[in-house]
Amino acid sequence: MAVAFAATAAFAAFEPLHYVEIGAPAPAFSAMGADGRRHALTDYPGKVVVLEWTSPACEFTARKYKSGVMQGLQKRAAKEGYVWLSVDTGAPGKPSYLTPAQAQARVAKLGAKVTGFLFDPDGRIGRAYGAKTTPSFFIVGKDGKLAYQGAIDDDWGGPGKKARNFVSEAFDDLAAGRPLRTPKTRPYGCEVNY
Amino acid sequence: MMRNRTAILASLALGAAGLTGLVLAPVTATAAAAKIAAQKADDFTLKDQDQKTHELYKTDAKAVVLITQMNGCPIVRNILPALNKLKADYAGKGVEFLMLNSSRQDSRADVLDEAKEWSINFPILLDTDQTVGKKFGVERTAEVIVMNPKTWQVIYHGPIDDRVTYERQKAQADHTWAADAIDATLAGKTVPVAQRQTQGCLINFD
Repeated sequence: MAVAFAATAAFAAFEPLHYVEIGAPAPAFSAMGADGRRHALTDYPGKVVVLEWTSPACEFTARKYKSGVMQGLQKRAAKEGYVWLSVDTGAPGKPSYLTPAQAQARVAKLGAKVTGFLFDPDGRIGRAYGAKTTPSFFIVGKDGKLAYQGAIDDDWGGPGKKARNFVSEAFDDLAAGRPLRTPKTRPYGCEVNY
Repeated sequence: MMRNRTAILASLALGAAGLTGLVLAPVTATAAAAKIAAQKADDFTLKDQDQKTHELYKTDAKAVVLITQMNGCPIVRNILPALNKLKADYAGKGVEFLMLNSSRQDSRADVLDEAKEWSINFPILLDTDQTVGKKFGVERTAEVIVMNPKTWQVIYHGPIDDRVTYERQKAQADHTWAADAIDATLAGKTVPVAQRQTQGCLINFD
């Protein structure tokens, strides 16, 4: 049955993802949120902005909410006065797509504490930042430059005890005003669905 | 359509005979056999992460095993030790092991990084335009496809075993489906259940 699949017609070439160096200006964006408002990076000058790539269809994102690790980071970010924007890259018809009402229900159900839940249906924000994975993080420093990109932690579900939460470490370093000990890690989880 | 007719026939037969076990068993077996018979792997040629060309049909192997991979997928990482063991167990027995990466996001450089970081010692075929993955009906990573090179029939398509799921990891597998399928292929047999749902990372096909 699988092999009976006819050769598909030419498809659109996969638009490459940009890569933003740590310390480079964070790409500007403006996107509609589940709250019905537009959120732009320029709305939050002088603030740390945490971009969390998320997906309702990703088992590994689900694990981080189920264990409360994600909500713990959100609480900490709120306390520090950071902006937390969840970004869902996924067009209607894709598994990761949510309507605004569904997104709001999800945020409430998970007890997520976020400044905004942004929709990126055309993948513009994801491509600008080079987001490949859910869950993954891009943290913009107060200076508007990219301070961190990568995984939430090293607990990808493998054997052995995992101890490092890279986002939490980034928060510690940002709060102390020192360079990040690990500004870049390799995220794990699901593919962002462009 | 086909399935409906089979179901109707089965229920008619059930009504007439009233013997569930006796009637259902042959119907199920026939459906499974039809499914297996329909799955023949077409030839393809892909390059691996080291730019070595692999043509599926150009092999002396007695069984060919294709494992779907994607960078950063925890399930693939979690089954790597089991895959390495499988490869070692069948060393010298004419079994060819290949990985297949159908992700549109993973460049060759990314795949090289992943292979290095996780010590992946398998050729990873770069299915850049997703053609091969689609033909095999791949949905997720960690799917193991066992083929018999004599006929190019797909003997098995499913998880390596039942050890790793999204939620938990058992110390040991209770079922070694992929190994059973390789054994069956080497013995010129089929396996009772040729297709199983795999827990892996969803691959975004166009």
